Amino acid sequence: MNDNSKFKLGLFIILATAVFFAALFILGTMDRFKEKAHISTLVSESVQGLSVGSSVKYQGVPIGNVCEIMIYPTDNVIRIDMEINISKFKVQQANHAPVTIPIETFNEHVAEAVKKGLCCRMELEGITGGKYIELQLDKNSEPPKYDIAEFGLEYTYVPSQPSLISDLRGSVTSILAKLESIDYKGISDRTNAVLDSINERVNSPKFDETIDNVNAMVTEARKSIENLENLTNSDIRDKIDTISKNVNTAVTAVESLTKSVEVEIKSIEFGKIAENFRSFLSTAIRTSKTLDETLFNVDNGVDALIEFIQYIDSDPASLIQGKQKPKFDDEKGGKKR
Amino acid sequence: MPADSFIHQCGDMVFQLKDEAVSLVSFLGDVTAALWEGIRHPKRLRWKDFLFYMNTCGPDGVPITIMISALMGVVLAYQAEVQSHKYGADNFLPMVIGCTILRELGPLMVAIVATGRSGSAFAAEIGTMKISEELNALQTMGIRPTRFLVVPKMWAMLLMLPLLTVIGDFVGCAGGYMVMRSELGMPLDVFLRLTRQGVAVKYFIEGVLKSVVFAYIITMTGCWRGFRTGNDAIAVGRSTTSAVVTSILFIVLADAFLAKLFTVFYGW
Amino acid sequence: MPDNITSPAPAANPNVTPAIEVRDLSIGYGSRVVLENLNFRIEPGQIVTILGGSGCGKSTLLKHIIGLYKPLHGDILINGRSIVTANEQEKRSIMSEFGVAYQGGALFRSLNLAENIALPMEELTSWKRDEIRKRASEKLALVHLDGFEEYMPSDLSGGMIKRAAFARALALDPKLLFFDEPSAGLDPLTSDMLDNVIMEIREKTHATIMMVTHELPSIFRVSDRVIMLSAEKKGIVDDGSPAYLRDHSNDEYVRTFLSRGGTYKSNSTEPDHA
Repeated sequence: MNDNSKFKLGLFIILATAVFFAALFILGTMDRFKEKAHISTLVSESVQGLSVGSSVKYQGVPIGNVCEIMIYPTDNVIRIDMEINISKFKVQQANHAPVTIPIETFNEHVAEAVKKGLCCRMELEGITGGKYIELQLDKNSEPPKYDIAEFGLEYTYVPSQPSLISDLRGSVTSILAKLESIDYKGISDRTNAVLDSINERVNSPKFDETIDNVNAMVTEARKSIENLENLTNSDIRDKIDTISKNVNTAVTAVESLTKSVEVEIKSIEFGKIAENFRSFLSTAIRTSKTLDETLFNVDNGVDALIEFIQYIDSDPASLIQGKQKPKFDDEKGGKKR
Repeated sequence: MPADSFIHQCGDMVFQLKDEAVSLVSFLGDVTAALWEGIRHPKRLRWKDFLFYMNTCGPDGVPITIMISALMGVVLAYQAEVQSHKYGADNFLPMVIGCTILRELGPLMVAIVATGRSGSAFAAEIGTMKISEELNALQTMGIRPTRFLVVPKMWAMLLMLPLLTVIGDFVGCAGGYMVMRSELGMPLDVFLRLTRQGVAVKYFIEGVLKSVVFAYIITMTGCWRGFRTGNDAIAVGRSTTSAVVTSILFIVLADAFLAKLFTVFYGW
Repeated sequence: MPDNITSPAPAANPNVTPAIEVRDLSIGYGSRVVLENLNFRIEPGQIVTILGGSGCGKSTLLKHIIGLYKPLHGDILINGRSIVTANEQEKRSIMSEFGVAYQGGALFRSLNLAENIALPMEELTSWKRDEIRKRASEKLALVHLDGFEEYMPSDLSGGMIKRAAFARALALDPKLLFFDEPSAGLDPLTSDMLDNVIMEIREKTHATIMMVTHELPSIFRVSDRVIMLSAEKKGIVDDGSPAYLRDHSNDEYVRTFLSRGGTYKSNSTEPDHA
């Protein structure tokens, strides 16, 4: 082996080893030298999609990763520990470049922010169903559900809020519950009973107005459902709230409708308007049909909502991407409503 | 039954395969024992041969490794870019390129190049030595041919192939970056940041560990084929070809196995 | 010993352990028997040539004796130790007691001459590097290759390679040497020179030498004894000193074979030390 070969071999080994360590440094070790703070949270919902290494973001800025996920089976709680790269948190100094805050200060800031409503929430990362943890200030956040002292967390605790999905699920479920609470059968029965009792009686001019109200209410309910279908990520929460309100209004309207029908009918002085009997009969029959239609529409609306929540359950990514085009030419499967 | 009947030939083939398998396994044992002996008595390692093979397996293979790896990175990036650009997933590209090269293509391509360069050379060298009775000479001198011929090659390969792989990985990623830069105008710092986001250091280590296994396979198969060379000049050509083919087959099998192994045991 | 043996060479001394003893040896490849029921002893200090027509199994026999192949049947004792039944370690120890010079030299092409000759010393002894170098030079001088230490085998002629191979076989000063076709493919003068080297080696080392060759002039010059093999009979056809066999062998084939070298004048059974 001559000197030239020896030099070549030596150079090769040095260069390759240098590249090796540079790669190690760039890909991972570099982070080891950065100062890390830790925070913990407790959740009771499923952490499907979240894993060790998932991002942690503060109002959209990546600040760290999930470093541990563990289960406390006795309390049915999942604990998530996060590693926060505090080099992202700076303090501006006059005429100087911003400097990273010390860990203690960071922890103090976090504790302070928690009092002001800092909470974390699991959010969908993209089209893959993976999740990240978003830290944000939410003034309307619910107070922490757990007694933290019980868990003896060694890191600063940040309370969690239900994730978008479970939030959405909760809202829609309550809407459904309210819709389901409408006593369709009772309404129908009562209406029929009223119809029976006013057989051969007269009608009221206010009646058509009421029917119009009911129709308007149904139209509104339908619109709400359509809105629900065309949701986008940005305004999802607002819309759910609106829907919730709309449905509430609808339910109230249906209730008041029933009452007003009863009141109307009771208040009518049947004997006085005998001459209108014939026309009343025809109106009553029309009213009965319209009411049936209305109830049928409300029922459809409930079906659509159930379908919608199932759809979200099976494909949460659609919340981010919007409604997917049906694959291939499965028109029937694609357009279910 | 005639000797050239199909059934006869099939039977013959099975016996040949059995012979080959038995021979390979005993050779594996022999080489491993010789390596262990080398570890216990490092003074007995033939340092001069070791340095010689380090040179031929390492620095001499750098130009071709750089060329193949860079082109591989470029091709991979082009193909991935065309597809992912349609979905606006350009930001995923550095991760795709990094993961694919570091975990799979880098070690694999470097190993295939090394098989072509070194594995075949080992087979040819030992095959020629067998024909010129040098192996017999070693044996009658009371020197174990595996220790004398295989161990220096093995250590050289075990050290050099991972280093070549590191270079291949680096150049492959650089090739990928060239495409990102020219096609998408992606700045270097963005490319690096996106690569770091998606590529864990364990992927890099996985690739390097794979290359250690590949080095073992290449040297073992090359030398084994050399020792099994027949006694004519054509036999050397045959064993060289066979060394390359067998090596690549084993490398791909090992790659599949290791990919599964890393996933199962380390959740990689 | 076959019945037709003309002259059983120098009488065997039962008190001396033979350098090589072959007992009921059958050799071959797979199921094909090449030679069977071979029996002979080679006393220390003899130069014995295994002779026979092409394809009679001379080289195969030599390779069995030096332990490269396993015989089909029988035993081979080297200095009283069986090389057939020995385990790997014993075999290596037996092998280190003899030197072999192969037909093509079998020098390692990646090593220069000195390194080639030093190799067995480096691998099998604990001698110091300087001593090894000195001894390697001595061996090269013994075969008249002094000054060629740094030459690579590829830079040498056929005759030089053979001599270098002799030197390597002598590296550990063995008492038993095997030469496979030492003068094959060489011109008569080079061949002559090799014969001289062989005789010088014997004189200086008193080693037992077993050769395989069919160079008749060499045989008549250096051999004390010839063991003649026949492919047809798959065994030894005659055994004795070359000149005696040429003139008095009971076997026509042996006489004819050796008469091809009849022009070579030899008046005694002793090798010519000229």
